[in-house]
Amino acid sequence: MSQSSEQTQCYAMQLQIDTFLDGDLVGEQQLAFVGHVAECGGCAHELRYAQHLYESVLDLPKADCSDALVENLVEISSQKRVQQREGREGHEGHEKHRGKTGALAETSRQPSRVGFFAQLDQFFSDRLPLTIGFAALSTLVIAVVIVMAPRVDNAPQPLVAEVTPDLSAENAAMIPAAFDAAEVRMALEELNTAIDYLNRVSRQTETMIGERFVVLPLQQSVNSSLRRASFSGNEDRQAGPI
Amino acid sequence: MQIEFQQAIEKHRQRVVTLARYSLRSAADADDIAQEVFVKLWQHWPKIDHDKQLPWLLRVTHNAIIDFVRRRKTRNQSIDDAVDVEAQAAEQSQFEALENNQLTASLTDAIRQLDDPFRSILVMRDVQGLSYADIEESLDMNASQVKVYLHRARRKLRADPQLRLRFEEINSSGDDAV
Repeated sequence: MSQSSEQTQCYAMQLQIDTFLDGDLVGEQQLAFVGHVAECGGCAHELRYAQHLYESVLDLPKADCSDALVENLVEISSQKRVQQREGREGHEGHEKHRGKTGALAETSRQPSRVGFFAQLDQFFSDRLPLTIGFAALSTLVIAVVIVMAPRVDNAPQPLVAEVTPDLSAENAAMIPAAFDAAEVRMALEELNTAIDYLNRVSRQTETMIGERFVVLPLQQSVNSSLRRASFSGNEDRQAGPI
Repeated sequence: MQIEFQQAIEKHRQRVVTLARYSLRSAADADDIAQEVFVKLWQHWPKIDHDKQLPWLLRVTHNAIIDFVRRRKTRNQSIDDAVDVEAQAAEQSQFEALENNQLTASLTDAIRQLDDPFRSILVMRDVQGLSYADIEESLDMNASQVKVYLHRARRKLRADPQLRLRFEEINSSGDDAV
């Protein structure tokens, strides 16, 4: 066998060293490999070297982190509820300054309060955006106020009970005994007469005031007064020495 | 949920830190990566498929390491090296005591010098003994891709002159003893 073919065969065999070390070389390939290594000193030496390194790598120590690091991680995970509460109180400011601890707390929200309103608040804060949640909560409060408030009739109550002219026996019975029906009717007639009189006086007053203080007569009156004053003033100036 | 999170930390902390530790020189940087990964685990806890928790963690760790190395490359390398030296001088962990073995130290350095994904796959499979399924899931590869990368990673290690020198020293001393 020529030297070049031996080198080629050795190169091919050395490529299979790792497969052999992994135990993946089987059958004829394994027999060929073992046979070649038994005859070739160079490949046997290479196999010993590869096996030695392989075993050395397997024996390399495993590294571990410090206990302080583990304690720090445990502490970070245990502080999540406190961080969560702080994050809710000052979300924007906290977000700027938060570190790894704050980021941890934000990821694991757990409801810390109990009760219906706490759950309602939790629902709004978790499921809905802030504005929508606030609007929904406000609407709920207003609806509760409307439902719970006492009903008040908005129609104005008459200050004086309407009295109809015909007084039935039942109505007459409700009138105090000090006034009889005839006196009440007379009083109402007098009241109506007084109201009519006041209305007439009001209309006359309005007419009188309107005629006296309309703009045109007032303007004419003012102009005539000014005209008289100006004539008299000019006469005095023309007569006297300047 | 909090107890489950603590259990997940206890269960997977070694795997996360080991992957970071064999990618970065400083143990403090590896701790930072681990913290970042577990914080993300907590943040995404409700969304994670917890049957695939380990692949998820390894994927996040892998991505965090890549981001960290990229960020470090943009910084002043001389300052970074000084910090690494100080950090290494200050650490007296069991891990570093084992690293004092010359072959182990050379091997660790050689692994750190591998590019991704060779390094991650080698650490996951050979150092940590993870299953191919977990590696495939975490790196979003199929089985044949993982095996090809793994074998190439091993060949790259064997090509490291320091490692070969150490092996020859051990081999020759063994022959002398015989």
